[in-house]
Amino acid sequence: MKRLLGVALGVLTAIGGFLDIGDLVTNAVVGSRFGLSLAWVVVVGVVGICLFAQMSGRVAAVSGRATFEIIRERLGPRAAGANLAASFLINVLTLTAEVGGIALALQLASSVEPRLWVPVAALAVWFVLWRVKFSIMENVTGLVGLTLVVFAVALFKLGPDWGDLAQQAMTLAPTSTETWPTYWYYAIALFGAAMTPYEVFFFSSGAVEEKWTAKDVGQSRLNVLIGFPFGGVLSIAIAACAAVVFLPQAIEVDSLSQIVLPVALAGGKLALAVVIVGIVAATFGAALETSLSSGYTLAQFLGWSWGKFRRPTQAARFHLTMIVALLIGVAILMTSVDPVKVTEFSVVFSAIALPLTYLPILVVANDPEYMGKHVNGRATNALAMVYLVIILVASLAAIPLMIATGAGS
Amino acid sequence: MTLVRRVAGPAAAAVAVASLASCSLGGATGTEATQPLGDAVDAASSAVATSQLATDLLVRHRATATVVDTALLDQIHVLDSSTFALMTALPGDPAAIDLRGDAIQAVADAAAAVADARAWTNSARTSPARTAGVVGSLDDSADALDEVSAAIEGS
Repeated sequence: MKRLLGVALGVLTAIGGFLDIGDLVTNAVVGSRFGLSLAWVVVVGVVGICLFAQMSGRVAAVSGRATFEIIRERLGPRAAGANLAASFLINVLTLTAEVGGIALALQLASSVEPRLWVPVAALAVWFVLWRVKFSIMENVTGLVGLTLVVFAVALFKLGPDWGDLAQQAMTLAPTSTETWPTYWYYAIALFGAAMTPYEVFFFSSGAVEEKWTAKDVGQSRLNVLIGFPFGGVLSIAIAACAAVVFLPQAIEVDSLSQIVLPVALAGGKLALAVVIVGIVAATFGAALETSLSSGYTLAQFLGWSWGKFRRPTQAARFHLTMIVALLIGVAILMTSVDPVKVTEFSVVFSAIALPLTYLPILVVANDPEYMGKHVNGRATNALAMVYLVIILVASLAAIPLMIATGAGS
Repeated sequence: MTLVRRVAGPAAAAVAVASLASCSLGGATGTEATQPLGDAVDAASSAVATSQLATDLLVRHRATATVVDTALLDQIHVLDSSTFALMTALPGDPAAIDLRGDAIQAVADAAAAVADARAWTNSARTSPARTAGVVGSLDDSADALDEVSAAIEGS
């Protein structure tokens, strides 16, 4: 019974923890401009993140070491350094977007300017990182983030023409007012939002934090294979809400305040309160994960003592890295930059950095020296190779498409 | 050979500068001239439609004042960007210049309507006449923008 509860908790946390500001913004923007014609990208992204997250979780559970430590040992400092540079920069950019997302969500609840909320949000993130146990931190934000299921409820309450939505999902082409380059630009943005690199580093380091062993591989697989697809369903629900309410009125989504309006339309003030709580939890949880990922990657590369299972005095440089990453994020946001724009860029740059993140994980997961009998099977490797090609194409096409479309404008 | 190089370098630079200058200062004509106007008016129409939705939710007690206030403030930023885009557009032919004037007026009226709606959102909202006025102004702005948009498309 206790084991079953553990599995259920893990799955629920994975669902709630799947969505972050990148998913919220990108899916709503895409839904308002393309309807559900890009829903297939969410499916491709979710399969990809399931594939690589379960791989990195297995590496950590079997070897007892986080992925980045092994990458450095297995591939040498140069290749691991390239991985570190890309991952760390994307982490900090994503962290900035998440802290901005918390501030924007709090503005919805208070009407107080987001720049006043930014230092408060960053301080709260730091306090939780400093004081709260890893498992409590992960479970609470994940479970509260589950309230974003209100988007799915809102979609049903809006009473859409399901046939029309299905038709949109089957039409793999832009709407009449959009162009093919813009369609592919947003396809890459959605893919980057679903496969953000921090998720796998957090997943593997979290496995070490929670002292997983080879016996826990099954549970890790269940968390990923059930939790993330349900998270993907919520992503599509966000896009569908935007497609139902905004697309017919030619409303372009460019702010968080617009994303919650379909929920208010469907469910009134109570649903609105629930969705704001959900957005705060999702962005707060992601801010914790990206802060930790910044600390994890740098500490694991440089061989520092790391982990929340250690007291801050025993992992001082790990904690200092997280504080510096948070301060950089706050400094960027205090320049009055639009957090939604930061988010849009962070998901595209995530797509650019994907090969540097996922190729090393695949190499390590195939090394019998670390994995023993738990190396990747043939089917996993075949699928991973297909994904490496997709990731490479997305990475190479991202910047030309960004220039050609004026960042999707 | 040296003379050719001496002349070719500055000449190429002069051509490049002249090309860039023509890009930035030359007036555009035809569809090229009206495309930026159309984009700016579309963005303004989107902002007004969002404002109508947000205001309607508040009238029907389906949203809180803080959310509607934030939504309207965000749309004021969008209208500000539209105004800037229209002000800095350089249409070449007289018809497009007239359209630009109409578009600037329509967007300015829309900004005033959204600002008024925001002031109403932050007030006690007890007067039905004031509520009707706010909703009516937003509807009128939406109609005016639709007319300008149709004129731009038809030009």
